[in-house]
Amino acid sequence: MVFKRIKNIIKKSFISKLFKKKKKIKVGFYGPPNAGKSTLANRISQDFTDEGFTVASSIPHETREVMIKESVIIKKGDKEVEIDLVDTPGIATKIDYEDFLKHGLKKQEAKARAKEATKGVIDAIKWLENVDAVVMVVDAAQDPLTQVNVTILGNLESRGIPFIIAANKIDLKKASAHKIREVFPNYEVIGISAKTGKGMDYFYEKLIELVSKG
Amino acid sequence: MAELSIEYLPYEDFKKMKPKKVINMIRKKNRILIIPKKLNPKEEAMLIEEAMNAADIEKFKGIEIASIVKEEEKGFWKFLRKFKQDDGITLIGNADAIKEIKSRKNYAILKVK
Repeated sequence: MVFKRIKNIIKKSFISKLFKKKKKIKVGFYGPPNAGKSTLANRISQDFTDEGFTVASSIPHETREVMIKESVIIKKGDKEVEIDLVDTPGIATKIDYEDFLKHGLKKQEAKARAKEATKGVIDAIKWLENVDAVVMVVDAAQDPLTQVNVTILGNLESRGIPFIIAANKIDLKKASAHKIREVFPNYEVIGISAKTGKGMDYFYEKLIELVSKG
Repeated sequence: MAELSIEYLPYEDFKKMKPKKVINMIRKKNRILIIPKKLNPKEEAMLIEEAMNAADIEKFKGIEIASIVKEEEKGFWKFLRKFKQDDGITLIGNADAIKEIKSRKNYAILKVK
């Protein structure tokens, strides 16, 4: 009984809180293929460490394994957080190697990529167990009401993982962050262009808030 | 013309089955399973994971999955709330036979290859 009370006091103590704040938060970048997860993770890495860490391209499933950039310090005004960036492969319910042929890949390359991509999806789902917070990246130029988006958001909610939605590619003419907000009115939706940097200042403010919850 | 069979799978039976068995039901025949309940997000994720485990470049590309839920109020939040209440129907099909299932309020659009 006494031991339990002491344990609780320590739990709530200043020292404990201090260590808790120092804890590095693993921030996962989740979403469907080609939403711009790697472009966003790279931009963050570039902005705060002066170096990228993952490859981004217009071919779907470019990221086929979880990529981690450790100890990135995000600063905005007088606020500062240390995070591990966890770039995950795009989640899909199906992978067709013929889709890669349309992007100019040879048959063998396309098949190899498809095989790796299936493993990537499994890894991304498994990694939900390891992340402390998530940036859900959606393509603001596409219909957001897809089963993959619904499944990811549902899993984040049911697992109690704090998240924000980055409505990416707002530099494109047909993109609309407003449409994403309409579809997900109760979530924090931030319009950004990871490619051009538009909206990134506000995104960093929200990312720091998110990490503080994580 | 390829055949497509539609099979009713009670949720109680689905719950007893391992995800691998569910995927095998879809994989071996061109079946669409109809489950009279909205699956929870973890069940959906498990099915996607198992589909990717079973994926074979030539023979099985994965699944198409969608839920139909009754939407009485506007907004996706309500839509999700309905999801949480397990109210609805889940459709799962073989992606080699089905191009796309799009769920909308009260109905789904199914595009067959």
